[in-house]
Amino acid sequence: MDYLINEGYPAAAQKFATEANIQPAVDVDVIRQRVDIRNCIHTGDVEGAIERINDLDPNILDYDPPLHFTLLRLQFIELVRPILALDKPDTALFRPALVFARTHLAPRAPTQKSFLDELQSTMSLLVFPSEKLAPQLKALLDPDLRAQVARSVNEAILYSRGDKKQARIRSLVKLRAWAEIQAREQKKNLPAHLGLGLDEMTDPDVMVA
Amino acid sequence: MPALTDVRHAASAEAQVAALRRLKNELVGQGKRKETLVCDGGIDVVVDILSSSEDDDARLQATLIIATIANGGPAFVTPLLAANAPQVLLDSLAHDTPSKRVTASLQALRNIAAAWRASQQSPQQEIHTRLDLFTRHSIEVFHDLLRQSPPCSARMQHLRLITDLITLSVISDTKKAALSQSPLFEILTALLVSHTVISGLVTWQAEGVQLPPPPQASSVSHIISAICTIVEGSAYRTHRFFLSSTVRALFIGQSWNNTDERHLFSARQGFANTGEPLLPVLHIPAYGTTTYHYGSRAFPAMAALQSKHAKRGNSHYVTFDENLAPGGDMDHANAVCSWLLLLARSAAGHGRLVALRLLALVNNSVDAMDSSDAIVGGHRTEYTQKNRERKKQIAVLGVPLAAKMVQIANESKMAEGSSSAQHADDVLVKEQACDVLALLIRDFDELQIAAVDAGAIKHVCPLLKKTFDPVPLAKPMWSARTAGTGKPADLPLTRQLGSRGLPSEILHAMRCRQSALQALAALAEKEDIHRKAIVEAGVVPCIFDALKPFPSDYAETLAKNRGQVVGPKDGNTTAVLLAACRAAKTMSRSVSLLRTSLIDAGIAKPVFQLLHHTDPEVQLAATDVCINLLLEFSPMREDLIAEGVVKTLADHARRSEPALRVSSLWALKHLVSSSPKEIKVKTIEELGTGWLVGVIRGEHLQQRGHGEVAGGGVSVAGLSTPNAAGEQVDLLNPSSTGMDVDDPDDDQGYDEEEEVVNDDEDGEVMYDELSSTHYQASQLRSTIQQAPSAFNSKRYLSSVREIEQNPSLRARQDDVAVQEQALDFIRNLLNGEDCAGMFDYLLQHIGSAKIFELLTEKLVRVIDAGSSTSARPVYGPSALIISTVNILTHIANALPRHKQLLIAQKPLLQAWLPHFSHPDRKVRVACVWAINSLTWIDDDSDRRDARARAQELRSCGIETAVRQLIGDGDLDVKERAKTAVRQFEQL
Repeated sequence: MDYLINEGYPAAAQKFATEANIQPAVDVDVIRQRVDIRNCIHTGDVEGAIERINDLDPNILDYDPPLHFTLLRLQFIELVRPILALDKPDTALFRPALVFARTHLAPRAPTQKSFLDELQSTMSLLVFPSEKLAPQLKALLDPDLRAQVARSVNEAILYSRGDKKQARIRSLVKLRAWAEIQAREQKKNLPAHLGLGLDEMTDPDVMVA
Repeated sequence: MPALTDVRHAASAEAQVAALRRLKNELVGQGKRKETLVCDGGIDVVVDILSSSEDDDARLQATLIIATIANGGPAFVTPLLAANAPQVLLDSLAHDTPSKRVTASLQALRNIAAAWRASQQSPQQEIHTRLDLFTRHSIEVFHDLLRQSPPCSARMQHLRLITDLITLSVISDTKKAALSQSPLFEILTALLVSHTVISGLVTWQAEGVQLPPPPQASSVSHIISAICTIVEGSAYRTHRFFLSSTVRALFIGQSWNNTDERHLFSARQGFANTGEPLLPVLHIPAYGTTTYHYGSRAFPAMAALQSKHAKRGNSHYVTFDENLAPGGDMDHANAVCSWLLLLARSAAGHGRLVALRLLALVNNSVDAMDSSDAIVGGHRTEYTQKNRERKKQIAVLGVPLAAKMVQIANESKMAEGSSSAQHADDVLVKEQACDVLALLIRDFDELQIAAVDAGAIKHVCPLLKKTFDPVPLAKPMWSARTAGTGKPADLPLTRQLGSRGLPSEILHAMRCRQSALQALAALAEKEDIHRKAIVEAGVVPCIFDALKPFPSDYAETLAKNRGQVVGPKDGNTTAVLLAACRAAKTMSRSVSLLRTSLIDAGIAKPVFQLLHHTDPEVQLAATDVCINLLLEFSPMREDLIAEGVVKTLADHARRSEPALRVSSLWALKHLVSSSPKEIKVKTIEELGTGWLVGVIRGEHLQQRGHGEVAGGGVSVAGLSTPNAAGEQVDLLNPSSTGMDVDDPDDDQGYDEEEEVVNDDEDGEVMYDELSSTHYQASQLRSTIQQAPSAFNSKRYLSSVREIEQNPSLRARQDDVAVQEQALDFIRNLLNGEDCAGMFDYLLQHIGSAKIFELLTEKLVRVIDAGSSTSARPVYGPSALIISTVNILTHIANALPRHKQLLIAQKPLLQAWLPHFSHPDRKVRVACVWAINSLTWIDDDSDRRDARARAQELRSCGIETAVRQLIGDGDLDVKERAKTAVRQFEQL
């Protein structure tokens, strides 16, 4: 339940609540807003995402310049992405992206060292031909970056409302994995594989234990 | 700005909303654009929309814009306040406002409060504007918000924002007092109780008391922090917190069998109400078996004997109400402390710190009331035992926790990579850990030792040193245009940016520095070993550097070259100066340090400069340091006199603030002790004899119209307790060091050992905060007709308030303290080689008739027997009597003709006589010393006169009184009396 709310599955959360017969202390509206923002980021509409975040609470970006910078950089990447995909991009097409970089990214670059580095690597996207990109530059164009940004935005919103940043189940799973590693390092007597108990058909002895 | 123009000229409501939204998106995270907006008059536009627009969406967007502008920092406070933004936002919190806009408005208010708070610490005085968010009306609105709205995530957010508002914007005592009386305070307390119940720490058994639904766990630290803000600075308000009905119901609701099971929550049982103890169980031996035990509950009559040893001296005259347990309901106070400990242990980071802070506040306030009723009764032993249990528990469980927090603060790296949430928490811990530790251990030597055992010095000192590391300032955003500096001054205030104040990085360093210095001051308060350890840690130069204020144009200089690295020794905020003075004060209590590391560090010069600081609080703090630096064995004395300290202190003494007056006189008193005659004369000339006489007579008080002597009303309550006030001052009065003791020729040296209950071995505790000077409020209390059954928290609360806040009582206390210092000043003036010369000087300038009239005044009864409410004759505070009698001793020690002059004062001798049987042994000792001097035969030529003097003493009954003292219970009195009788017989 906690997971569903935190990760933004309002419908599933409501169904779960009805099935388990618990009173959902869920504010569907709030979840939906977060889902909207996440969807915006996933579809590449970063500007829309930023506007929605500001609608929710302008403090989030005011207080967190790194997050704001990351979002703006993503917006820049989204601007150049379609152009890079072209076969023989015309340099004039880059103009709007460059204007964006000058007005939004460049002023922030000197405020933190990491901003400057990130800006430089991002700008080099324009320099190299898209098929010969170094791996770390390729990563910038990877959809994974969107997911990563979406996750940190989600966490920031949750925190601004005083919630935990991550679903409790995540830390439980982490704790379990950590405990398993610790136990193995200390050569405790453990079976070679410890299932989570979700797929008990294949793992009968865990059930017994 | 184009978006602003669009907002101004929007054709339709929709267009306006759209333009506002665009404006907002342009502003968020863009400090420069916010500045432009202000200069373009944007604040007026936005506030106008907020107050007059019909459209809900437009108002929401306007609110969000104000919120983001306020995030720009202190510079935006002036224009926002000038546009009356806070009031407009408060008005928009009305009932029918949609929840979303309420949240946004609270958010905006919170941001304004945060910016305002940062602006308060700027070295510039002119931008200290007032922010008044908690009016009678707005408190009601906030209360309604917390009470009515359904428990959903919006309500939780409102709760957090309102508590933050309290924490950030409430500074003044009057606001705190208003809040502590409000239902808002009650609901916060109830929420904390509700949280405790829902987490299963206590089973709720009180029927009929309705608790609000529990808050989110993450809001608890906000709630506690708001409660701390409200109660801080007043024992009365703290009592209001822990005696509130919900907190009482938390521990007392045993409805099924009506037994009091609150002892289960105590240290010995470890909060065992739900079965297993939730706190480690402590084994604390009962008092009964130790030497502290002076009486027995089986023999209540013995209580009279105990009182002699009670913390604040005697209480023979005091008639107290048996039904009122001394110090309030100790079981409850202990339960509350255990509860707060439990909350602290279950929280982490900043949440743990605020719980510890509240614990410290509760413990301190219980202790303050404890010492103000040094009333002893049959319950005393049990009561003392419970008191001791609580302190032991805090020493074992609370202080190490606080020390651990200091360690965490010291070791935390504040990695840039960590998330902003974690970072914010780290910053708060770093800034407040030392402060909480200081608050917890201040005034309790036992807790100070516990803190040092837990490694506090080891962690505080590096923390202090680190605050002097150079601070790299965040670089501003790059912009193609350089900011236009010349702004026309004729713009309305809403279009002008205020001062930027100090950058947040420097403020952070300052807060850390202040809190580390507070911790040092508390650690060095009592134990010389601690002071030495602090010196060895090498932080004395840091204290020296922390005594330097910022130049007044500092913020501007910084603003001009932002992006630079700021030097560590540029200066300090006022709060740091105060803390540094406190640290210097406690450190200089050590004679050896005064002569070694403190002089090496050159502490005297900056302290002297701070005497002239514009802030009266800093002046007071610096004067307090001077008290210690001006002692006769202090190597800094000469330097300070050369700098002109005499004139400054005399000027301060003539000012109206009582605390500054007391401290200045105290410092001067030390200054004239055993100093050359020129300095003595210079000092008294600087003060003016007429003024001094006026102070001793309390004329200053009568001018202000407070408490007519022997009048009706409450001032009688203050007066009619014979030993009212002055007790605490007396406790730490350096009569053992600053006065007579080091003078080898003076045969009047006091025995040090019993002089001061709470003193160090080297007897150098010289001054303590006068904030808690104590009255015995017996008369006050006896007017309260106590129901004989149970503890009545309401009545107890009102007596706590009387003790703390009654203005005439306080004025009396202040006046007594000033008079005592003035009398002691004369005493020190007369002490030493040129005693006779100085007395001649006084005779010449004041006149003998006036001097003796003055002294007589201090000795005569204030209220005659039977004439007033009291059945017995009532005298002034014993501290004043002691000081007066000591002056008599010195006069008797001067030349034979002075002795003759003294013995000729018949009314004085008459007034003196009753004090030979004064309940306070210190008074009796002083009296006998004076007689010893009077009957002393200087040389053969004096023998005849001496006989005449003895004759005179006999005829007025003093000899008989002295002879009776041979059987005195107190050894010191007894031995002195023996000497006196022997001298009588030799004549």
